[in-house]
Amino acid sequence: MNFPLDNPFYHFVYQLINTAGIGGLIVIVETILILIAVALSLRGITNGAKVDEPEVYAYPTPALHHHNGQD
Amino acid sequence: MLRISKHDREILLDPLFHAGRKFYLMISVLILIMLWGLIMYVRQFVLGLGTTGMERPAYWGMYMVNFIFFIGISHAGTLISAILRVSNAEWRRPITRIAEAITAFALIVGTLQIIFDLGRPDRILYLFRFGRLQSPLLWDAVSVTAYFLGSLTYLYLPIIPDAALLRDNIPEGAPAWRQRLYKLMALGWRGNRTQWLRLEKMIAVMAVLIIPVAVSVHTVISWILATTVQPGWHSTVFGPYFVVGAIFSGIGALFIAMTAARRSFHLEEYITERQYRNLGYIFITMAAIWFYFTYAEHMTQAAGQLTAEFPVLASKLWGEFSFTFWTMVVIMIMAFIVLVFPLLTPDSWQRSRVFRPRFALANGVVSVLAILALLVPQTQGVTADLLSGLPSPTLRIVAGVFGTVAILSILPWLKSHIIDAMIIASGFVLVGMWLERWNIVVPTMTHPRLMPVGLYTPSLTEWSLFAASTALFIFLFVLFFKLIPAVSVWEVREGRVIDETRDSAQMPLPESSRPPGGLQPAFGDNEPTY
Repeated sequence: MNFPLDNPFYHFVYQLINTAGIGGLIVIVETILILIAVALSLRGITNGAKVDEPEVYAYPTPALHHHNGQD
Repeated sequence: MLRISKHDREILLDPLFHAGRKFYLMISVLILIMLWGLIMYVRQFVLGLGTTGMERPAYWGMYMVNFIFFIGISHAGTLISAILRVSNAEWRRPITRIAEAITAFALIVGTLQIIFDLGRPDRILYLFRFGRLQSPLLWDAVSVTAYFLGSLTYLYLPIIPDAALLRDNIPEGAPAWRQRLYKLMALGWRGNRTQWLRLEKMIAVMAVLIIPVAVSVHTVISWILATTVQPGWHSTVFGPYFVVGAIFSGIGALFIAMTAARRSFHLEEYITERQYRNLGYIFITMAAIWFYFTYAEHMTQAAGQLTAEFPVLASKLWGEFSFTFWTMVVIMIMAFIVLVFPLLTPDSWQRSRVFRPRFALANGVVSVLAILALLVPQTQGVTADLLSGLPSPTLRIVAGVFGTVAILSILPWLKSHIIDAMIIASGFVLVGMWLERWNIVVPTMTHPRLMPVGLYTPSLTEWSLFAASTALFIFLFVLFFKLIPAVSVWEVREGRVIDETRDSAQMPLPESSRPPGGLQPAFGDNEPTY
């Protein structure tokens, strides 16, 4: 049987978990991705105000999901 | 312009713009404690970690205990807000914001403990420069980062409609910076159907995502210990054990925080006994699970009697850590009694003249005195003269009998004062959980595998930074709820409408099995034959 590190996949995994700095890079990438996701979602909520719907509500109820604003 | 009823406005919004003498006094005291902590931290920074009680082999001490404790408390938000939101528990509405705020602030204070523990704060950058994925410390950085950012988002999302409400209803004479703040936080909120649907969808997604992240946070913290071969830490149950403890202490912190907000802002009609009762049932469940894990963890160590591991257990059971270990056990049992026994107490006890708090107090004092006499046999003076004639078995019987009578006498009062009962139990649980973290970290650190047994006593620096951290947590909490309503206004208003609709609906009786026009058949007459 060959030594597992002869296999390119195991070799890659070995390098991935043992290379200094990769961990920090992952934390930074994770932070950036979360911030982008949150920013896009908040932008979606902000842009929702521009939709042409004259009726506004102080709070939602489950019925609001089925209400199209026409009736 | 968004509107709010006069009654809700007076209770939920107006107090945000008035601060009395008590508020400023509290803030001043908290700032003084934090300043003292800052002075002690600067001293530690200049002189080094030698100012703490940590030395070989105890490299981790109170800072690590506090780190685990505060991160544990942060699980309050996840449990109450996310799990109850996902499960559609309507009673959650008035307490979700307080729970979410605890999460965010406890994470800030918990992470600060790592900076204290490093001694050289600049070395936190080493984690990112040289961090490798094989290290549980890095897994912790990944999960805590995700949890912190997720929790902040999860706290902020339900605030958006309330910020718009404040923007549109700010009292005249309010500072201009507060107007700008609410305008900024409201993100142009109008409250049309599209905005509500998008907001609710995002809150629902976050609620689902944050639950596994929260579980991962405390699991990974446990793995920082469990992936070593230090005696007492190399355990497979540490992950769930830590998560259960975190949720348990988180609920305790939530009970105290929601009671503080309830009394400070007079939210009695919003945060009612319903919240205490329902959350109390979850509290009892978590207590039972915590006892199960604690027993499982220690029982396997006792049964194994491994050469390196048993001295750690022995130090807890009858050695130098027996006081903190047994105090934890007794405190948690007391919490369980306060939570469960009142539920089993007959109503007739409340009419009895015997079962009164004063009678309980008198019996409790006698019991405590007997316990003290047992623990401190070398007491000098009058106490020694009084007790010298009493043999140890007599004192034990006195302590047991009077203690039992004290507990039985206080039960009817606890049953009729559910809020006070929850506060007492929460106090016990928070102290007990801090001791649990201590009993996990310090005995192992002082009984390592390959080094002689060490000693660890926290120094004034560590105690000061613990006090300052607690003060910072309370400071953030108080300041936040001076800017944002403690109760999510729109969620409560929605809940009110849902409750009223349900109350007005006529619930049909269940289908009757009685045959029309005939008598009920005798038992067994209509049993099927095989």
